Amino acid sequence: MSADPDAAAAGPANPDAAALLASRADPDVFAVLFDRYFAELRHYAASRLGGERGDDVAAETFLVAFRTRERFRTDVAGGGNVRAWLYGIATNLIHRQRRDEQRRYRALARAGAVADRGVPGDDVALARVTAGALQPALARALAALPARDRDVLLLTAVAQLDYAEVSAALGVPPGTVGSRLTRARRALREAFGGDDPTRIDEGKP
Amino acid sequence: MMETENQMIRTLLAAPPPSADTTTAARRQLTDVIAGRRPARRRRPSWRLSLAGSGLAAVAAAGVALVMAAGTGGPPGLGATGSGGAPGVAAPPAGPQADAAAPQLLLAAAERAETTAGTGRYWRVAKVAEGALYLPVHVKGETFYVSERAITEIWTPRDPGEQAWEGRQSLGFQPRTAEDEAAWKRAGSPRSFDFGPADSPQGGHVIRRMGPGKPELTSITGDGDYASTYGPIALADLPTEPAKLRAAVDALIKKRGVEPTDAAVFALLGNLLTEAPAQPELRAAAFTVLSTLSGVVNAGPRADITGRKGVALELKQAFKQPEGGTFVNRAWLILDPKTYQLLGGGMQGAMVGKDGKPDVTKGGKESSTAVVTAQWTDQRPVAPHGH
Repeated sequence: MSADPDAAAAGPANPDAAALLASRADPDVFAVLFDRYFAELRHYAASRLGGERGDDVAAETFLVAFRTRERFRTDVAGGGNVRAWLYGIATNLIHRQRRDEQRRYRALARAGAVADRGVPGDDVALARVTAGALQPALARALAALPARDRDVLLLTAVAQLDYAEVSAALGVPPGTVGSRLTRARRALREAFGGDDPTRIDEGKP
Repeated sequence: MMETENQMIRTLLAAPPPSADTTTAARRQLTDVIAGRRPARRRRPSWRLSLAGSGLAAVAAAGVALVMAAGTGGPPGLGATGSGGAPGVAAPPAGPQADAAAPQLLLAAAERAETTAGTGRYWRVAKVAEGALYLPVHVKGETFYVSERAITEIWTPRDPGEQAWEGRQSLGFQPRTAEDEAAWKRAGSPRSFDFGPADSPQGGHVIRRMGPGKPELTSITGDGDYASTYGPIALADLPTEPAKLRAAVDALIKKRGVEPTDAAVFALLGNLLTEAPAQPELRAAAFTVLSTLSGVVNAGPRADITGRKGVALELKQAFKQPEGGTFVNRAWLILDPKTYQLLGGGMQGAMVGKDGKPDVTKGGKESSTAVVTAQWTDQRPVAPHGH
C-alpha cells in the first residue's frame, strides 16, 4: 500500500491486522500471514535452535497463532502488530527447547573461526575481522545470559524488532525492554574482555 | 556500533536455509489445521541427528546461510493464495498485464467470469471494512483523525420467506494515519475519542472507543422491499445481456431517486460483482458494462485492507464548489490481475488541498472493504467472533 500515495491516504496501512481479523470470519485468509512471515520467523528460530529444530518451531508458531487468533489484541495503536505477536509466540516455543538452544551455543563456541564467511553489507570488514576472534566468546556469552535478556537481545539483533515491537512481542513495558537490552549488551562486552568489541578492531586492517 | 554487534550476532547464529520441503510441509500443516483436519505427522529426525544437524550443518552451510540472513529484510510476497475472496475465482492462462487499461482488464475479467453456483441455505458474504469520517478529535492541543474497522457478515436466505441476518463486530477506532498516530501519542494515547456534541435532543457527546465492540447478530428487518430489490440475491437476478443489464441497473438507480450516472452504475455493479451470487453470464455482462463507463482508469497497484495485492480500477469525479475549491469523489474496485477476481473496493470523498491531495480538515469521508468470503452455506448464522 505504501507504494501508492492514494491508497495510503485511504486508511492506515495495517494489512496484517486486517488479514488476521478477516481470518476470524474466513480462516483461509490466515495463510496470507504464513506466506508473509514464515521465512523470517524460521530464520529467527533456526538462529536460536539450529535448522531442524528451527523448522519445527517456525511451523508450530503458525499453528499456535492460528488457534489463538481470537486473542490477538487490536485495541492498541495501529491496530496491533501481528509480526511482533508471531515473534512472541515463537519465543515462547523456543523456551521449551532451552536445552537445544544451549547445545547450539556450545557447538558454536567450539566451531571456532568462521572469519572468512564474507558478510555482505556496510559492516563487512569489521564484522569479518571481529567474528573470527570473538565468536567463541560471543557464543559462550549468549549461553550464559538469562533467558529474558537473551530474548530481548536476539529479538533486536536477529529479528531486528524495535523496542515497541519487542515490548509487544514479549508483553513487557518498553522500559523493561530497554533495561534488559542494556544488561545483555553489557554482559556481552564483559565477555569480550570488558571492552566494546567494535572498538577493539577499529584501526586494524 | 550497536549495529556491528548485532551483525556479529547474526553472523554467529546464521543457520542453513530451510529446505524447499520444509516450507511446503509447514504451510501444509497449517492449511490442514485451517481446514479442520489433524496435521500430517511430521517426520521428526532423531534427537541425535538433530543435534548433529544443528552444529555441523551450521558451519558447513554458513556461506549460504549468511546470504539468507542478509536477505530477510523483505518477507516473501503475498502472491495468489487462492483463499477466500469474492465470487468468480478464475485462473486464466494469459491475459492483459496488470498495467493494461481499465477497459481491457474488465473485458478480460468478463471472459473469465466463473460460477458461484452452490448449495446452501444462506448466501454468506463476510467483509472487513475500514472507514473514517473526517471529524477531528481534539485532545490536549492535538488534533487527529480516527478510523473504525469492522467485520460484517450478511446472511441472505435462498428462500425469500426466511429471515436475513447481519453479523457485525466493530474492531474499534484507531488513529487513521501514521501522522494521526503520532499526534494521538503526543496527546497521551487516549483510548476513547470525543467527536463533539451529539446532534440529538438528549445532548451529550459522541464518544467512540479503541477496543473491539461486542460481536452481534441481528435480524435484518423492515427492509424486505430493499433486499428484494437491491439485496445480493435480487442483484443476481438481473438480465445477462450487457445492454439490458445497463437499462435495468439505470432503472434500479432511478427507483432509489438517484441520477443513473456512471459513478452510480460503477458502485452498483461493483456491489453486484463482489457480493451477489451472480452466474457467469451476468458477471461477464457486469464486467462488460463496467468497461464501457467513461472515466474508469487503471490507477495502479493497490492492496486491499487485508494486504491482498491487486490493481485499482478507479472512477474519479470532481465537483467545483460555488464557494471555491474542488470536491473530489473517488471510487475504486481492486482487481486481482492474476485471477481477475475482485477483492473489494473503496471510496473517498474530500476537498482537494493546495498540494493536490485530499484535505481531510475540510471534512469528507472514506471507506474501504475487503470481501473475504462470498459463498453459499448451510451453516447457521452466528455473530462474527469465534468461527
